Amino acid sequence: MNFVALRMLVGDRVKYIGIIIGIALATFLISQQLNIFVGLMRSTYGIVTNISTPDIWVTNRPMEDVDDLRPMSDDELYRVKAIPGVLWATRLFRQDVQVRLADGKFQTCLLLGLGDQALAGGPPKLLGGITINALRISHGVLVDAAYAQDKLGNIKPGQTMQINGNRALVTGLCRTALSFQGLPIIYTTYSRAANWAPAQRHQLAVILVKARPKQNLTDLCQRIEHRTGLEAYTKTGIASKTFWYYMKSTGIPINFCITISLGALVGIAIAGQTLYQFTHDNLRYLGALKAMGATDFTLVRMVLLQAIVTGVLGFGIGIGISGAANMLILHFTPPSERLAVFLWQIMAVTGVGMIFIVIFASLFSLVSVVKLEPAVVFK
Amino acid sequence: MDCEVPVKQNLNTIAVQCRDVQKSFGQGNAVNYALASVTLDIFAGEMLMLVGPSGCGKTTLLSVIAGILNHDSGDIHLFGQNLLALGNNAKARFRGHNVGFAFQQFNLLPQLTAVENAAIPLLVLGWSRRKALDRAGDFLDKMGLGTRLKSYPRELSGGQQQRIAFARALVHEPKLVVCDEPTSALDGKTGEQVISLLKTIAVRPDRAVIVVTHDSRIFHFSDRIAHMEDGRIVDTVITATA
Repeated sequence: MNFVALRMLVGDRVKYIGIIIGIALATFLISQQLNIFVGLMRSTYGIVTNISTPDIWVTNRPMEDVDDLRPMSDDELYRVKAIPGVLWATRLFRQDVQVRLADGKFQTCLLLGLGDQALAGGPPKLLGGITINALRISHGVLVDAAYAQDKLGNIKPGQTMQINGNRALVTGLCRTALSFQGLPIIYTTYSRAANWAPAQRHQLAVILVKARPKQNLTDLCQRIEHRTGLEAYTKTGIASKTFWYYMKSTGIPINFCITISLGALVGIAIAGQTLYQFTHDNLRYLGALKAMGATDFTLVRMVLLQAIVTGVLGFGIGIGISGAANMLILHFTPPSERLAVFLWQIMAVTGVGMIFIVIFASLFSLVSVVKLEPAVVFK
Repeated sequence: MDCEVPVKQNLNTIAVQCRDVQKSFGQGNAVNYALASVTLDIFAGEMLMLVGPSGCGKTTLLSVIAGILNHDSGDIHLFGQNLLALGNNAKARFRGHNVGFAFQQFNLLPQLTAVENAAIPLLVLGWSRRKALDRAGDFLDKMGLGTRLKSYPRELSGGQQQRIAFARALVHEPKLVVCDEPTSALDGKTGEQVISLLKTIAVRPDRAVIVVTHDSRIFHFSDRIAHMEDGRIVDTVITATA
């Protein structure tokens, strides 16, 4: 009877295509919104992604998100270094600065200062074959390549810019994760950054810690907190805390929920209405099948098969359109603004969501089929 | 299946037994007694025609006998099976094995070809698609539609569609065949031809055929005619000659 169900479905081409379009549209809307949402939320802890190497981040209390840090005394660094289990600890400077470009315009940037000695915690990827030692060149800075092109006047290695009135030499380009505020990221040494930034009583933002081999990171975090009174997080922990801060404190999740729900409603409305109309148009024939001995279970299975087949096709088309849209976005959007992602996990979540949407959309059809009196064929 | 010559009904085998069957629709002042009290025996090997004015309860009686409508009271036994004793799913399975239907509007699925439509009862019973299509194809071939197996209903005449409907009603070898106004959508000559075919192929010593009809031109094909009025059988007349 599966073959009968599919032939009935494909035989009504208008409704068959209508159901697929409804599912495809819902898939596209939901997956695109999820792509943007995930990309946006990943950017909230972009700075964590952009500091490679360390296992643990130590900050002053209280810390809600990684972009809002209370500076601490430089002495804290030595206290942390003395804790058993710590292989090395280094300073990280973090502050927003004003950059003057060659054309005279100003751009706010995020300045990260790495510990002078080891330069640990540099960007995830360096371009052009350079090493982190490019920062040891006098006045040297590393700039994210995407931001260099889009927001810093297409500045290139060898060119200079002014940071808070100080001359800075671009010694290399790198690739970083996008930040939530969308600020260009500039790396330099800690002492250079401290000199360029406006003077403050304390300037140490974060202590980056590398654990000894086989050291349990959770235990080490607790030990640091207990002995120093500071807060200590693994890389995952600080990223998670920042993520949930933005989830709870901003309207981002609720707004995306609304948009995703609307996408789901669109799918249910179009697919459900068309599928119900299709079943209604075929009630006479379904009644005949019931009269000829098809049980309710058989007819329910037929309707579900029709719904699932259209659901799978619609999902495939919708994901394809979403992928194509992402490619277009990548093509036309400046690299520094490419927040949306295209992950297989999002496709999987969308697929699971579409299963529920398809089943819900077919509910009215299923009810009408179960309630159908076979005697209708004699009317 | 070979063409068979008409046979006398087997008075020793009651195919359908109705005793004081009642069925009403609606409630309160709007209640309509479609079947007031029907007592009727239908025998294996006969073609019984149910005739009567519009609204007398012919189709309702056909529906309750075929098991697609529950009656309110009374007894209906189909080859010894009490229909009220079966639940919905059991009744559906019973119908699938034992009852063949030919509907007034044919009710051929427009998305299926002739042979696929004829094979539906076998597919419902769980036959594989290939076997069901082979069997249905053989059946249609014997009905003179061997060259139109892959045609869709919209490409066929009314008489051809009715023959496909008859094939669908018989392909699974049911013990009871019910036909609701099988010639109403056909012209006189075509109607006679299809009823003649039905009589020849469907009527067997182990099978009963019930035809609801207004069409007096086909009365002579029956073995017996039961007249209905106001939800009751008022008269039965044997029309078959020895």
